[in-house]
Amino acid sequence: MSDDTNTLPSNAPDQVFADATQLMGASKEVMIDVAGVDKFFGEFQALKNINMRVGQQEVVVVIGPSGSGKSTLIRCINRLEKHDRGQILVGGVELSEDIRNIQEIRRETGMVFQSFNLFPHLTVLENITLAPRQVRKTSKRDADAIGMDLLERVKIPDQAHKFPGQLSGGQQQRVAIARSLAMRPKVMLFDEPTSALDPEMIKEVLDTMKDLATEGMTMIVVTHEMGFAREVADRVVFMADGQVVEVGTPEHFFDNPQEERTKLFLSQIL
Amino acid sequence: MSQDWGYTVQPQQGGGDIMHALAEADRPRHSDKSAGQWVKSNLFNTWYNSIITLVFGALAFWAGYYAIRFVLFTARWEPVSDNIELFMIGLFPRDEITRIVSQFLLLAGALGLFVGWLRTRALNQAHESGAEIKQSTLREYLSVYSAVTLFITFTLVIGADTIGPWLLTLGCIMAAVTSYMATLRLMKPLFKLVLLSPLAITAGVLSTIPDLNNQAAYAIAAAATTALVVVHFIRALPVTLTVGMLAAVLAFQSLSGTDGLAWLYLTLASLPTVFWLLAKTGDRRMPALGGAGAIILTAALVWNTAINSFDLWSIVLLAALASALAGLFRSDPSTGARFGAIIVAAAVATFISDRIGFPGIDWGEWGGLQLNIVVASAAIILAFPVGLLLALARRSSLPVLRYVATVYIELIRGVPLISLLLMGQFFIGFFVNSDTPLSNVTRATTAITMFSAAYIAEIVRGGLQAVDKGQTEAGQALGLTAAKITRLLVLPQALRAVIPAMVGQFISLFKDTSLLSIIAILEFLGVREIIHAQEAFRGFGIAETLVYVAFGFWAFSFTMSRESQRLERRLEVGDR
Repeated sequence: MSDDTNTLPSNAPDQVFADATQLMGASKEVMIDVAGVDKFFGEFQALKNINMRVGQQEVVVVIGPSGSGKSTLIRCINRLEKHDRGQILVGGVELSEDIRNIQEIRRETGMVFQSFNLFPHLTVLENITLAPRQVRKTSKRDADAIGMDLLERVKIPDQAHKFPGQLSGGQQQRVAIARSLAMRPKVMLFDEPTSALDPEMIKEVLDTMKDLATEGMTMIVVTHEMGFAREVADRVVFMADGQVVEVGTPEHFFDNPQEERTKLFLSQIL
Repeated sequence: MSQDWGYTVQPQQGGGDIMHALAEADRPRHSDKSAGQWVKSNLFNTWYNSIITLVFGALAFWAGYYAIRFVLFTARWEPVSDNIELFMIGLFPRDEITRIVSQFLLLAGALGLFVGWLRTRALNQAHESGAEIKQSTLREYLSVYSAVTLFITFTLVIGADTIGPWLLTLGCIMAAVTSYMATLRLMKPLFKLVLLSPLAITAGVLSTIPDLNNQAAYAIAAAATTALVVVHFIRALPVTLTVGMLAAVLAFQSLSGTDGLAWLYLTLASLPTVFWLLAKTGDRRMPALGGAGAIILTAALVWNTAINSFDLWSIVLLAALASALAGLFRSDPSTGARFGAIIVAAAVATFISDRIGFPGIDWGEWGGLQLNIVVASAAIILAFPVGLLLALARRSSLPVLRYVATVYIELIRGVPLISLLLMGQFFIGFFVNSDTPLSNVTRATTAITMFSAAYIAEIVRGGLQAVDKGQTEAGQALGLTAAKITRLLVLPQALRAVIPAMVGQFISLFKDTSLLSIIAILEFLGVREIIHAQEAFRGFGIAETLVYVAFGFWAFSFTMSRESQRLERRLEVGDR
């Protein structure tokens, strides 16, 4: 499945794609290719034959009830979890046992966590410059310049020398986004980035992500923010019980869902 | 890169400020109440509290009365006061006292430098992050250091029959203060003159000890003065650290003499400054330095192979050369340069330690509290890295490492220290083949180190497990290698979390040095035996000597515990 051409024919934007392997928009490069992936936690099968392709600059929002395998799926994409069957390619590199491949994919893939996972013993700027300096061997001066630039972008340059514990939740999550961007990733993965935030701080984080999408970042976002999905997503992927149930443009997905499971879920949350 | 992100962020009050305000509000306000009111509301507020207060108050009064009566009136302190030298240094040769003097002065100087180093670092960090530095109050210092001060004062008052010990104490204080001041930014030229005081201090102290060869001590004093001037005018943290470490090493060696490892201590002490210089010279010169190191390594390799044929050392040198070259010619010249710099530093250190070797005092002649402190310090310094490696090995994904570490830890933890000490007398000789048999003290230090390392490993493992898994995941997601995740992210947080347990282990290690008397080493507690073997004190003043020794152990242990609490409070900056 992954051996065929990397470009796919364009599709009409309004079409509903039951098949998540189809790409949106005009002939884009395939950035992430997930093919036939199974994942087990002991006896429990968390992912069942997942097939999904994400094109360059595409924003895919993954939604679904808790325990449906959304987080597991994106954690498989940068090998925080190891998939048991199937194939995952990121930017043409296959995730295999080879540690070099894994490191290459992790370098190109940014990840933002629900609980921020900032390094509490380092200042905000050090949090951001750590990876460029240690992984890309950027000099301290250059890394600091990149870091300050990113902090400008997420609007908190004045917090550069504070420690994460001194910041609000929304600020911390924006630092976490800046930290991922510092590696200049080609893909950003968001694992419920606003779920741990107080309501009044959700907007500032979503706005940051929105701007990132506008700039053309390839993104997979696991979230419960339906407004964000409707506004920003190119495609919405609905997962339940470890399977992709339905895929479609936001309009189709929210206004005209096809599957019973999807309708049930939407009726519960909307 | 900057663009309009379409929203404005309201300035938010940081969580830190809120926590600060809450802590402020929670702080009890003693000033609101008079002493009488406080007693009433805290000690006699309920009938059962009143009973507890009365019963335990009476008990405390009774115990305190007898304790004070004993110390001040009934106790006969002659067995202690007549033998204070024995208690302090055992049977250390009395015509080599100069070494003890210079050791104490150097240690005090090192202490001052380390404190100055820590303080400057904290100030720099606070300056950058805009956070307030946590000033320790006088009250805190008193609570930390009053115990050990009391012990030293008591010892001096009852034991010092000449002015020498008083002068030495004063000299130590001045050496510490002077070294500390050298790390500060002092404006007044008059203050800068204080930097010359090590010369005066040493001359003053030594002049009270008659008939001694003081040349070495004067040379050290001159070197110390120079070092302080350098520290003060260069004002770089790595230099301060290097000078502090050199002073500590020299303090140790003024007693032990330069042994075969002197080059290693010198190299290790020089590394902060060497790396600092490396960073200062910039990327441009890095290949040159790496190249110099590689050339020296090659020369050493050829030389060693020619003289000794191709032996173990050749293999080590070859491996070092290979990694230096790999660093130099592959992606990252700074690795090669660092490697080269270490080699260059080691070569220079070997040369120096070859030139200025001097004999030491045999371990067998050391004794008293001095020996307890030396053995405890050595064991702490050695056991910490060993324990750290064991903890990492036990969590390693490599099965062999894991099993070896687990077996070692569980074996050692199941055995009493005393049996390890006794076994050390026999077994270490089997493992280490040496022409000259290892001294008693070396064997004992090894046994204590092995013992403590197992416990420290478990403490560190607890800390490692306590670090949130998200930290590792964040590191992985950023593409950091497993080694860097451990070194830069997990370990710093884990170690910070286990400071109290770790210091507890160090304290028990220090107290365990009293077991050395069982293998015929004349340490602080064991000195009692030869005191009570003296004609005058046979069966006399046994309680007094016991109390004095207990007081000594307590004073140092309590100070360590208090200091660790103070350290914890200071490290809270930026913790959460």
